[in-house]
Amino acid sequence: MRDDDALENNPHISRKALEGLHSQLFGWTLSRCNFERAVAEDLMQQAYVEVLSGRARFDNKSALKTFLFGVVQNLARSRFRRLSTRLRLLVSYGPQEEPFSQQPEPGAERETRLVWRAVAALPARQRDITELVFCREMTVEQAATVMGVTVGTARVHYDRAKKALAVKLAELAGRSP
Amino acid sequence: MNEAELKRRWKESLQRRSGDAPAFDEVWVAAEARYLDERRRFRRLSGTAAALAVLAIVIGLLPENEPSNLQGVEVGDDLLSSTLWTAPSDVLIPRHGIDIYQNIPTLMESTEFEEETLL
Repeated sequence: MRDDDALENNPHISRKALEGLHSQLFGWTLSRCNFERAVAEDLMQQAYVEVLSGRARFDNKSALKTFLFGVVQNLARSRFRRLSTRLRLLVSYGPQEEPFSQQPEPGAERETRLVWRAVAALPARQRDITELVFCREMTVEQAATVMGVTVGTARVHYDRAKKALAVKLAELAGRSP
Repeated sequence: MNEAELKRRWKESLQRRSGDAPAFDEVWVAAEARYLDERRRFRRLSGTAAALAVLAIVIGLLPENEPSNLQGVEVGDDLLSSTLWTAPSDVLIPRHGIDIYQNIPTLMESTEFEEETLL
């Protein structure tokens, strides 16, 4: 059934549905942009342009949330690749992995700071998939779709991440006063 | 720390860093404006490309003026006959009494029947 405010180039998406997911989508976008708010807002806008234009077309075979998170992930990845290439041209050695804010939130409780440091120490793919499952209310299958990997690969990353987090937290808790 | 605790603290950390999302209406209106701008630019580019293509076709179809300074060479009959060439093996070709291309040979007709067939 088609909503009255369905988009012209994406008839399975309504403006109302987008509004309902906006806040969650922004959180994910921010996470893709190393928590740089201005960059994240620009990327969100670009994601909506992709949906408005129909370049990112939703076929209603998966959840809308999974689809939108995937659009943001792909845009962030292309953006990072372009920046990385320019850096490599200018500096000869570009960053090999997408940046992630290592600094724990000031004023946070000790355990929260330990969790953040353990999360920051994870490889990017493990961190992304685990974030989607732990914090964005997705299943491993949905996380695999967002990240563009097979379900098997996503499960491996997820399991390894959980083990690595447990080890890292124990190490940090032992060291930290 | 168990998994539930880990999830809770991770989420809490993310929420602190994310803050409030910008208002949906503001972002949506900005995205629509950007989309319309993109479409206008695309239409302008397409229009320019189409105009250039038409121009190229028109220029290509223009008749070429024949150059007037070419001197024609008239070939006389003497010259043509002086260049007649025959192959050495032409002597082997039989000469027919009729010109096969000018005279249409007539078939002999019979009025006698053989087994209901006209011979």
